[in-house]
Amino acid sequence: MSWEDNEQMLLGNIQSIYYFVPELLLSFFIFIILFMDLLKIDQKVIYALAPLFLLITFMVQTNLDIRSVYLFEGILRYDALGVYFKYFTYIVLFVVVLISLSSNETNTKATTTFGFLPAEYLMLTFGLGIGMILLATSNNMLMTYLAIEFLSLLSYIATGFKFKNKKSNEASLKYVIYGGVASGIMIYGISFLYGMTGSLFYNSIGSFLTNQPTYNVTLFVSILFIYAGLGYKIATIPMHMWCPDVYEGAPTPVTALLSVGPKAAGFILALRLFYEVFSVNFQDITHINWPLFIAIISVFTMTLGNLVAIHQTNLKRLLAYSSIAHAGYVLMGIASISILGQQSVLFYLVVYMLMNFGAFLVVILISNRYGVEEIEDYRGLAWKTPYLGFIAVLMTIFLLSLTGLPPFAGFIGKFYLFSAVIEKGPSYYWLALAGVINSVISLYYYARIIKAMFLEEARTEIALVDGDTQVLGTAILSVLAFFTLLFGIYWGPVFEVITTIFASL
Amino acid sequence: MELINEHLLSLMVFLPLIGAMLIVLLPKSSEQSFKWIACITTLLPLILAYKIFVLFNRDVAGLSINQGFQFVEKFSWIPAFNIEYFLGIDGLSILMLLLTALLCPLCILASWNINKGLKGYFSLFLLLETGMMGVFCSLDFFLFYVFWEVMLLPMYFLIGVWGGPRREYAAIKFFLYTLVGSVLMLLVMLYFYFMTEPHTFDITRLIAEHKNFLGFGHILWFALYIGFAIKIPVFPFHTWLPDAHVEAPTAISVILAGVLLKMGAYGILRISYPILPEATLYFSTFLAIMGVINIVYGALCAMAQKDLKKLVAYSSISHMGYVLLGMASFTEEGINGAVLQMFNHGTITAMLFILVGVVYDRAHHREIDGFGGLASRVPVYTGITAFAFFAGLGLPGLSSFVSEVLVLLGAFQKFTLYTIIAGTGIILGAAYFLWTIQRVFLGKLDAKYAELPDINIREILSLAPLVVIVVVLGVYPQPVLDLMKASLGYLNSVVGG
Repeated sequence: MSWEDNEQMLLGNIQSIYYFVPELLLSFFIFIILFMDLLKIDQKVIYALAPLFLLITFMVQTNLDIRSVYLFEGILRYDALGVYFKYFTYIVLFVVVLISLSSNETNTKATTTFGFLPAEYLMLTFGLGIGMILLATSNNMLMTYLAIEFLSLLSYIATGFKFKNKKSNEASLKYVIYGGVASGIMIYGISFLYGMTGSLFYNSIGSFLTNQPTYNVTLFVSILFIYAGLGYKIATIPMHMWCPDVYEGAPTPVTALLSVGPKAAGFILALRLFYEVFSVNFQDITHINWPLFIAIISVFTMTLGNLVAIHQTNLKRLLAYSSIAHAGYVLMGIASISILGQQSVLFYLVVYMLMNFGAFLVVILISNRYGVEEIEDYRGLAWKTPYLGFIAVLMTIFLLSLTGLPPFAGFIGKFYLFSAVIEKGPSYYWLALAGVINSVISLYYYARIIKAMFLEEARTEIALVDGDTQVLGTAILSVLAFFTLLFGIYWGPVFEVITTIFASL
Repeated sequence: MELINEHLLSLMVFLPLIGAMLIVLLPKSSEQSFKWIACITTLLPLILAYKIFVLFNRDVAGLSINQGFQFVEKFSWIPAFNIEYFLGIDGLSILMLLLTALLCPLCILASWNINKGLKGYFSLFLLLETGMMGVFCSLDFFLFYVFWEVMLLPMYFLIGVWGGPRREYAAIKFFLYTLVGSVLMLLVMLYFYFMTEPHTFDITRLIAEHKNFLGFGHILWFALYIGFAIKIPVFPFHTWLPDAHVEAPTAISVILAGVLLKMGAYGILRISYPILPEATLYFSTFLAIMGVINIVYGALCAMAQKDLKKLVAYSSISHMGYVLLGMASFTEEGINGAVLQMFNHGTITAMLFILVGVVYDRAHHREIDGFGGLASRVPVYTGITAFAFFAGLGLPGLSSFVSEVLVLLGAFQKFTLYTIIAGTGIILGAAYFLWTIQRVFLGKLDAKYAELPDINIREILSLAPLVVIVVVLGVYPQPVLDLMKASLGYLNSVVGG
């Protein structure tokens, strides 16, 4: 596996650029946006161009061949998993730009209300994309650390982007403090690892660990500390506390992005670390039984997320806790340390993107109209107007998909995660049992929203504000719902793509 | 024609779904047509059901081979995971399929008065029918599970939106209870999948390889049992049922008691029995005891009820106990009686719930003690209700008598003591039904009800087919017994040895 055996796999700086063109292009577009803003080009034009830029990047990426090499003298990995994640990132950014465009918090209308700067916001979004890709393709601990820091810094700014909103500012500050602590612990853990192995490159660390015969307490502490940084990105206990405040305070499109993008990057990183560095051929080589460690964190994370979500009254906060719970589910796939586990994680990320974006987009569309985010305020929504009825039906699809009920994509995602766990045999059954019990708990709070929308009488205090018809937002919402339903009934092609990734590894 | 004959089951499953989509797509202004669309898309499966009834080969039996099933349709769905679209029926499922096809049009008739959110109501109802039909036809466990879950959602909304005052509580309780059961089923399903080589969800293959599941057999059986017992419902998982019934609109109560409760028993017979035969035998006494508890406990609870609908709900719990007792006996009479009881109970409770709905529509309450002397004011209604009550308590000459006697005959050979205790259930049943007749229909007429209108033609129309079936099967049950005899005999010989 290591490049010492195969000179061909290690590309020099100049050669590497060829495979790094999409990321460079993305960076280039950031400058384009910056200059357009300096030249006082209409914000609407900039906004309209952003999806186009992403499309170009996507097309450029499709022209590159997929092979397994190391870029920039081994700093970055270029392989099928990375390319898969790059496509994922472009799609996420594309959807987020469209979502931002349909939210009154982040589109050109927000400029006056919140002191909002669309061009800079778009630059942040693109930057987050680059950070995600770097994190997911990193092959060097230092690079990993830098990518996490890069991603975090941009996230802090994006969270606090409503300058004149106290909640947004508070969230940003909390995020900074948490992020600082977490990455500090992580770099401390990395230093242990470096001290032990003498290298920062994943594959060197991996080969060192393979030859390491027994349990080593330094290694355990080091992995634990590195997990602090990782767990902070994917918001698992005990590093989850920033999550609800940030999700509530940030502009909702940013929340949507943070709940999907950096999280997904974190999971790819987890796959790389735990499947390629800390194990060989799906055998734990660290002698610390990390699968059990991950499994325990998984159970606590999902249980905490679900139990606390029950008590939430603010929809964004509720979705924050739900996303903590979902991180717990995905960890089940990682804990199962198998091909199916890997596949199920990748599949779940796609599904999770669809339904989470959908749910947040509904929050945005309703908040555009009424300026409310409390579950209370959703009462009787379905019966107010046919348009709101339609939104309520789509929201129901997303929520039930999040619960994991067939025939929605969320069920298939969970089905694969549970499959991966059950496949491992009796010593993992408790994990699967905890997972399904949590699914039932989660039904309770998702159904609370459905109940509010359909079963309860409408609140009269909230007058109907007829804004725009919100064509764009509704269209994206319908597309997301369509795929949520489609992948629940026929998900074969998606899974085949994922299967081929691992066939090529 | 050829195409229809080859895809009879698919048509039955998906015709209602097509109707549902049609209703969703039509504008709200054409609201009046929704009822008719629903009516047609539930009647068509009924016609197909008749066709299946005629074409069904009564002598075919077998569980672990495709040839044991009829009207088989098998396509690959998700090849990577070996998931198939696999439909087929045998003597066990055909009866349930016929029952579903029969009850659904009657329910549409019974919901003619619905005036809130017609679009949602009828499309959800049709979706529910698709789910029910799908469960009874599926021979792929994954497909079975998907249909099983698809039913939950419409049921939640139908109770929650169109139900009574405490509908929100009842709806979520129903949803949570059944979901607990089904997620356990999901885990068992995955276990089955990974323990077979090559991995499969095909129920016939799982049956053929049932030896692979011996290791965890008892735990698996019990996990499945919890899932199915919640649906039946068996004591102590029954508490959702009275709540759901009381709050649900009439037609939904009919479906709930008529079809959904059968699904639990059907699941045990279709999945647990042949796939885990050793564990089934091991737990058969347990099953019989639970059956007896259900019979006696349900009957005692029914006796204490003040609400007419709750009384019928508890009587359902009691009657489902017979199904369990019969199933557990592993005798020819017992198993045949159990499945016949499932069918008969479906028709009889449907009648009872429709009748309760009729009086509720007029008097706007269901307090048993709030009536009295209705017989003099609404004689036709009284007559039909008395008939349904007699059917419920198992009067000889009516259908439930046959099935209950078969069950008790079968069970007596294995569990003498339990059967004797179960026999008291019949006496208790007679007690609460007769006592209710006395309180509601006899005595002095309350002045409030002096103008109470009698049952109308539409309501009679929705009851008439059921009355006919109850009488015919009470006198001559052979046609139905013929349908299931071969399959159930085979099942009994495979599991019971």
